[in-house]
Amino acid sequence: MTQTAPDKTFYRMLLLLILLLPALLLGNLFIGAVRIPAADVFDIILGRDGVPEVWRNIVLSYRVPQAVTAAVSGAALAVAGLLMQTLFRNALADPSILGISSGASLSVAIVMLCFGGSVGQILSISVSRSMFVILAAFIGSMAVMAVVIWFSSRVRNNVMLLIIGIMIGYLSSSVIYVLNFYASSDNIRHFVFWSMGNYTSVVAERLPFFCITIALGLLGATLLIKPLNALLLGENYAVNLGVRLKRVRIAILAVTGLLTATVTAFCGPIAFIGLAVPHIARLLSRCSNHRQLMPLVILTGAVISLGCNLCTLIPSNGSILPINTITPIVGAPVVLYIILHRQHI
Amino acid sequence: MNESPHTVSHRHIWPGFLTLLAGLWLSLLCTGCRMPQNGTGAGSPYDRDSIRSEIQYASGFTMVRHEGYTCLTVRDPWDTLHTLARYYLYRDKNLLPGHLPAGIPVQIPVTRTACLFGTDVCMLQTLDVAGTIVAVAEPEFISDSLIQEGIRLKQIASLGQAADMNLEPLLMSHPDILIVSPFEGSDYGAAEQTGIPLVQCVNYMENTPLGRAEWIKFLAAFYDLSDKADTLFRGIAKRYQQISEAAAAATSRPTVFSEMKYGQTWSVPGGSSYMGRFFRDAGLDYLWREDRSTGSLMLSFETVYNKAGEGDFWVIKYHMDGDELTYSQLARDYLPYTYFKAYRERHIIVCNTARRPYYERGLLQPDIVLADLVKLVHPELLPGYEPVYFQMMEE
Repeated sequence: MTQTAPDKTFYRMLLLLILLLPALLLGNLFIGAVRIPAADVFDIILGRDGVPEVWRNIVLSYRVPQAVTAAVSGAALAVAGLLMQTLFRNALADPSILGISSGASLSVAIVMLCFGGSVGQILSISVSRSMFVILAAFIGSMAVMAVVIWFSSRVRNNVMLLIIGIMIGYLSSSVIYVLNFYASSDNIRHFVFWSMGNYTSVVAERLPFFCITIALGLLGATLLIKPLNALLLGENYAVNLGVRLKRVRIAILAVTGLLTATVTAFCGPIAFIGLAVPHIARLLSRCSNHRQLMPLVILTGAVISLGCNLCTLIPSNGSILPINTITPIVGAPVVLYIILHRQHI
Repeated sequence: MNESPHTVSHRHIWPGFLTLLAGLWLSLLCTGCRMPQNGTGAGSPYDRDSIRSEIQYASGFTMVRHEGYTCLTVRDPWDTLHTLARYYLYRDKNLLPGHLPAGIPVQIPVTRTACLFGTDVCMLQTLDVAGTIVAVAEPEFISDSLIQEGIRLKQIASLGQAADMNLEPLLMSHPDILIVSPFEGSDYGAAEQTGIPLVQCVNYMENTPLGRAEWIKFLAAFYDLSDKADTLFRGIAKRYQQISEAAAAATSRPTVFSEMKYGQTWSVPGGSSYMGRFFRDAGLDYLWREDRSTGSLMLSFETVYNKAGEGDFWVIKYHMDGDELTYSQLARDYLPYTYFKAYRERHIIVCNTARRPYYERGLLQPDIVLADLVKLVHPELLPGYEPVYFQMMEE
């Protein structure tokens, strides 16, 4: 694909997504496992009285943070995926390709499977179990990212980086298997549920921190638009255009790391959104210029993530499906389409 | 209207056929009843009048005593039309009939046992036959000091992980039986090829506390200790009934719900499940009692909160090695937990399964588990009783 000026398709898509986003956000507030009449949800949102306290708590303390988390996580993972696909010039690259989510999983596995999520007592600091898991995931992903960045300054080739990332992934899954093997069934269950993804763990008071961190990551990604566009032409062209390759590479890795680590720490490893959304955005807008692609990817990521979150309610009997059972249903057909049509970045 | 000769003959044949069937059945019954009387001698556990041992609560196995042997049949809990395993327990091989349906012959009493889980060790301890244990799996989850000592002195072999046991120490320890607790569709692979009889103990699939505990009769049969198990179980059942009757007479019937959310899912025990039954017998009104399922319901937080937000008691089992779960920790873990009335009124009952042998020993002590719940919910009914497994959550 070539870089073109924004055309009608782009604006049409942008408008559609801008309309869809609030619609789906509201959809996530109105539709849930518990049936709350729409009029009551309106009253709750508008702060009127006369609605049962239980419903008020469900909407304000459960559905609102969940919907915001879903939207923000979707946007973050999608942008991380876009950065990876452009950096590696590989259609199948995604945020997990560098082993960042594997690092988070390994770290969480150590905390959950070895200590039952209660390292706080051992280190005699007062941190809740859920906060520990978040910290562990964050430290794990950041550690892997540091390793990848260190390697990136030593190896010239991006393919080497890719292989290093995949190897880190293999290593951590092997350690996770060993830990699983010796863990108690309760702790295994805890870990399995964590790895199924979860948009409900960001409670209202953690939401500002979560959103600000992601916003910083997205801002960082926006600042990288110019070099990203240059990278589309190939590394040599990019260098000729004045891109300082090593620096840009580290910046891209750092931004991707921050976005992926934050989302994985709070929500667990969310599958497929990072891989599929950039392609969906490209297919829909038919453009590859990051100046247009970036806002589209952010919006599409949020919209698809919110849509997937609504789909978790499919059983409609009060139970919900884990988010990671839904995202591949959206993501896998896209990947198949790409393979069949040999679409390039 | 004329009836065809064919129809007439049918009408005459049916009563005759039914009489014949009834006759056959009666004669079989009489033979069965007479068999023990021709038994091997006075005092033998096989010379009873009844052929089928009374299993009151467990539905997963049957025990039928014949002259010279006992037939133990384990029903397949996942496909109740099928049999999971059948054992012929004998003391003298000569008394075992030659043409029996497919099954595993085991000479009793068993003197060398290999087992996989702490619950098995506890059952054998209760029967005073823990001394027959020659191999265990996952020793890190077995709290018994004698077993730990045996492993340290290399008198008891460690089989590694239950799901993938090490066959060499198993074979070297020459057990008479290997007690296993299979999952649906699981097999014990090479262990099945070793020739060591696998005793399939699926007690965990029973849906009632007394049903699970009654499996002690199943294991006891392998050690020729059926009488002892009967007495033990009768005691457990009697105490359980007494406590449950006392709880039923309580003036209040508080509502209860249980567990916590993991990830997006809150796994709630079904209305007809093991825990559901405990709640009912403890004089509690389980909020999911209408539900018919015996397993767990995977619900979302809002579904549970909508139903149980005003629930009186909240029972949580958790596994934490380092510390105990407290109210403040629960709030830090997930703030919406604090919206529950049971949280506000400090009515959370907890059991840390890492610190208390709930899964190991609790299975065999349903009377104590029930007494714990009753004591914490209706303290006036059991004055002076100290709970063993459960306690009120601390600040």
